[in-house]
Amino acid sequence: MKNFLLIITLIFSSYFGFSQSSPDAEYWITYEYTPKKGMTSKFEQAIAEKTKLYNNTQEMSAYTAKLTSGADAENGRYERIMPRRSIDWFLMDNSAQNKFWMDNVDKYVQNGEGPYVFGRIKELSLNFEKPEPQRYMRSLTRVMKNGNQDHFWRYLGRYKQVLAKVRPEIRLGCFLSRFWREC
Amino acid sequence: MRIVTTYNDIRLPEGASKGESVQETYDEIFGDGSWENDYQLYNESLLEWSRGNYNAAFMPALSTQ
Repeated sequence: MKNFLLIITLIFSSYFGFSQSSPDAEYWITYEYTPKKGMTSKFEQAIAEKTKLYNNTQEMSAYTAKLTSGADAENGRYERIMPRRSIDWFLMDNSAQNKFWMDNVDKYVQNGEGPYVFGRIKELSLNFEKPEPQRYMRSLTRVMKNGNQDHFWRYLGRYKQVLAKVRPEIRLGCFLSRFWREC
Repeated sequence: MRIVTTYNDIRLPEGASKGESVQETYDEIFGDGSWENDYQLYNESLLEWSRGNYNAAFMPALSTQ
C-alpha cells in the first residue's frame, strides 16, 4: 500500500508537470506473481473469481497471462495487466477489490512485484487502439543509456513505419515505464 | 521501455507478412544502408543487460471477457 501511494503521488507530480502536453495519456498497470508451490490451481481459481467480481467492465478490465519462456517461466510466473487507464483511475476507490485480493489471492502468492506503471506511446504503436485480446504476447524490455537518445527513437519511429507497410496486421504496443519499482 | 506484440497465431508474433523484407523496405524508404546504420546505433544506445524477452499466453478464465 505504501508503494501504491508513492506511485500515485509520483504520477500526479508528473501529470501536473506535463498536463499541457499529455492530457490523454493512457496508462497500463502491471503486476507479476509467482504462486506458492502446490498452490497454482487455488491461485488461478482465486484470480478467476476476483476477475468475475471486480474486473467485469472495460473500465476495470484486467488480463492475466502466464509466461511461457524467459528466465522466470519455469517457476510459474504470471503477469496481471490492467490496460488503458486514465489518470482518473488512480483516484478511484478500489478498497473493496484490494481487500478481496488480500483475503483470497495473496495467501497463494510466493512472490509479487508491482505495480509497474507504463504510458503507452501511441505514436509508436500499431493496431493497438481497441481492446481486442489475443492469445499470446511477446514482450521485449529495452533500457536506454543515459545521454543522447535520438538514435533509439529514430530507429523505433522508422521501424514502425516499415512494419505498417510489410506487416500491416501487426499489433504493436510501445510502453514507456513511468515508475519502475519492485515491492 | 517495453515493446509488445500480441497475436493469435503462435507462428506469427508479428502478424502475417506481405512477403516484403523489413530491411529492404527500410532501405527503400530511408536510403541504402540506413537499416544497418540505424539498427547499429539503436543497439549502441541500449544497456546490454537490459534486453529481457519473454513470451506469454493469455488465460481467458482469469481475464475480463
